[in-house]
Amino acid sequence: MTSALTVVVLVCLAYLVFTTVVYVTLTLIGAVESIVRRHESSSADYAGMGASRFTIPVSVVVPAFNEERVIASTTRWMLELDYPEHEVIVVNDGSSDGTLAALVEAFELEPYEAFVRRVFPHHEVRAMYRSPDHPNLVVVDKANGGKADALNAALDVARYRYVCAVDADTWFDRKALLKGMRLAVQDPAKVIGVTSHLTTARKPEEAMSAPQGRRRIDLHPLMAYQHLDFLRAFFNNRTAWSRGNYMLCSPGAFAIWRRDVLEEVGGYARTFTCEDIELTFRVHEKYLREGRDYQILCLTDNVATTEGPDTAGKLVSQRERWQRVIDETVWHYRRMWFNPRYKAVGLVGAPFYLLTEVLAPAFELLGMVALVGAIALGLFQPLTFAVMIAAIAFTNAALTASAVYFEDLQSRSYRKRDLAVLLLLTPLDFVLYRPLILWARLKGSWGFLRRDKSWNKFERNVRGAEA
Amino acid sequence: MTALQQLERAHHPAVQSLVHVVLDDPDERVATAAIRTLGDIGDDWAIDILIDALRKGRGPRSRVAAELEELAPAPGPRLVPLLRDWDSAVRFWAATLLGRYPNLAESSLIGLTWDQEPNVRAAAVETLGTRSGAAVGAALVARLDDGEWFVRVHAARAAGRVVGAAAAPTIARLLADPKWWVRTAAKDALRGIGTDAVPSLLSVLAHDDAFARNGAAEVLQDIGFVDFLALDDPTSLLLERIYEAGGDRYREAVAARVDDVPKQEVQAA
Repeated sequence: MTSALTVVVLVCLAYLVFTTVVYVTLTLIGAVESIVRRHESSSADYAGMGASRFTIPVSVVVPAFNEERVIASTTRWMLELDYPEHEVIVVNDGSSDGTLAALVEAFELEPYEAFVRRVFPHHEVRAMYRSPDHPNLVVVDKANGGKADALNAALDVARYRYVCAVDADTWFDRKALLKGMRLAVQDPAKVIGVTSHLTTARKPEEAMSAPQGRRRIDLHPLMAYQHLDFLRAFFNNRTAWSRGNYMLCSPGAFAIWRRDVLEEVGGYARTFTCEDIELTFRVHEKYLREGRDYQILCLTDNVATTEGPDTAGKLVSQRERWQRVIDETVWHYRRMWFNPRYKAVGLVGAPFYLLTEVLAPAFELLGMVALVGAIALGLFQPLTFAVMIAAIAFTNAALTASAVYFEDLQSRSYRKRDLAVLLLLTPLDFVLYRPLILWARLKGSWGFLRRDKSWNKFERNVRGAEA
Repeated sequence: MTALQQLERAHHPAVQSLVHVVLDDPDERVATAAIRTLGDIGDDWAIDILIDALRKGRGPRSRVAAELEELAPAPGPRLVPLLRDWDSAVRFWAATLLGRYPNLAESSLIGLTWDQEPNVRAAAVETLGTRSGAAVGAALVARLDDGEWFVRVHAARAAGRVVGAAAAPTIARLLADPKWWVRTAAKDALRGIGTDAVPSLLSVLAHDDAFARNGAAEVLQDIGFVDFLALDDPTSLLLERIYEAGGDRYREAVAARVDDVPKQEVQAA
């Protein structure tokens, strides 16, 4: 019994050391990428790009399900993005609230008929609307079919070569499209997908309305920890993935794709719980299998703030879904694991997901149970345990602090005082926030095993209550 | 990159020689920074280097073109010889950049609408679409039958702008083009022509291709013809033919729109 427990503890410790080394390595690679991108971004000619007729037009596609309270304002915001030519296609995915009515009223929409190709699979379109004041706005009303289904309907309507899929509850930096499209414009033959860094808040519009350098971070504890979590996801992981060309998650809140690529792969998959990560895996799989030269990039510019859950229950529900999506996707593409045919994606990216995302909840739970057992049986001294916890918390805090530093270096978005508070919260992340995430991930893993595909959309936050 | 920019801001004499070195840097991002710096400088010598870079492919040509475009009208005449370059990429960019110079190289651009390289033909057609005149119009209409679909796309839009109603019957034929993007461009062009395109559109309502009939109905809707007819003579056979081409949802959308419009306003219009 005791020897078995010792083995379990050692395995879990080895896993912990391994993941820590991986994260530190990724952070270092990400730091190089951040610095390079910062130099590029600081010398980028956004004014010239914004005025140039060579800047490639973009279709912004917005799936909306029960977004009555935010849809008019986010759509208006998207219409006002600083970009030479873009259209906004909002798809009302069979909402049961007044989403469509809100759009009709806000933009004085009138019904019209447009005959488009049926290239992507989706449920029936009931009606289409246009606005006399905003010729670049199209609203599609369709039967409910889920987010992927709504995105596919929007892709059928999209007129431009690049599409930018966004969430209806997300507010963008005015230059978000310019920032996102900067690299695509330089090499449209190779750059097939771009995403960028985004953050979370209860009232995203307040964060994005403030000028650069004076933006507030939502310091509600749960929001602050989510903010840190987003920073870590981008600056400790994705920037490094981008540098190694194995960017495996273009998040649904801001993902630019070349439309013909989406056409080639058959659009968004409707059989997965969520569409974004699966699509990214699928594109990699196809392009690498066919030996094609391409890039999917993650930039370090802060382009948007999305609405995040403001209670523990909502957060767990959201993260449980994210875990399920990761599990579903990584399992579905298991042929890519450690497969040299898929280059860095097969040898680094997919295994990374498997080891640090899919298996992590099991290791974390097992490790905690084994440690408690080991202490109870006297195999492990409580002092050693405390030192270990402190070491983990310190490493965790150091990684998070580096993410805060690189984000600030890149965008200089936030007030210094808010950044200081974030840094003060960092060491407690391990005990206040991580347990919640662990619980959500365990639930998600269990849901995956039970083949649960539900969405669990969280209720709107303070704005919902105010409305 | 930063060092070069700092030197440029300080008007350092070494910039001119340094920029050549940086432009040939194997790292495309560094070369791009040099191109940007040359655009910022904008002097004659900088323009010469940019044109040379465009010709020899030093750095990304799209970035070079973007800088040259911002310098308009300065480099215009110097771009004309590039229309005869052996490299089709150079001819493409020269034809594209000449869009900002309405009085330059018309005959050369018309000649390029017959270039063997479709990208060059498309660029020439697009640029000619910003001009006017019978020769330009004839060249554009000729390209409506181009073998390459994206040339037809540019030709449809350009011919709609330059030739107008006289090109409508030919453009309307493209509503039945095998390529979807050509049909879309034809719809855009016919929308741009407006009510002068109505006779051509009505002739497509009897087309064998359902998508062509749909397209004609869509444009008739977008230019306001259907709404006018629905208010002025809701029982007309012509309206019924358009409804048949558009389908049920089309009919419902028209009904919803005209419900809100007072009839007197339409008659007055």
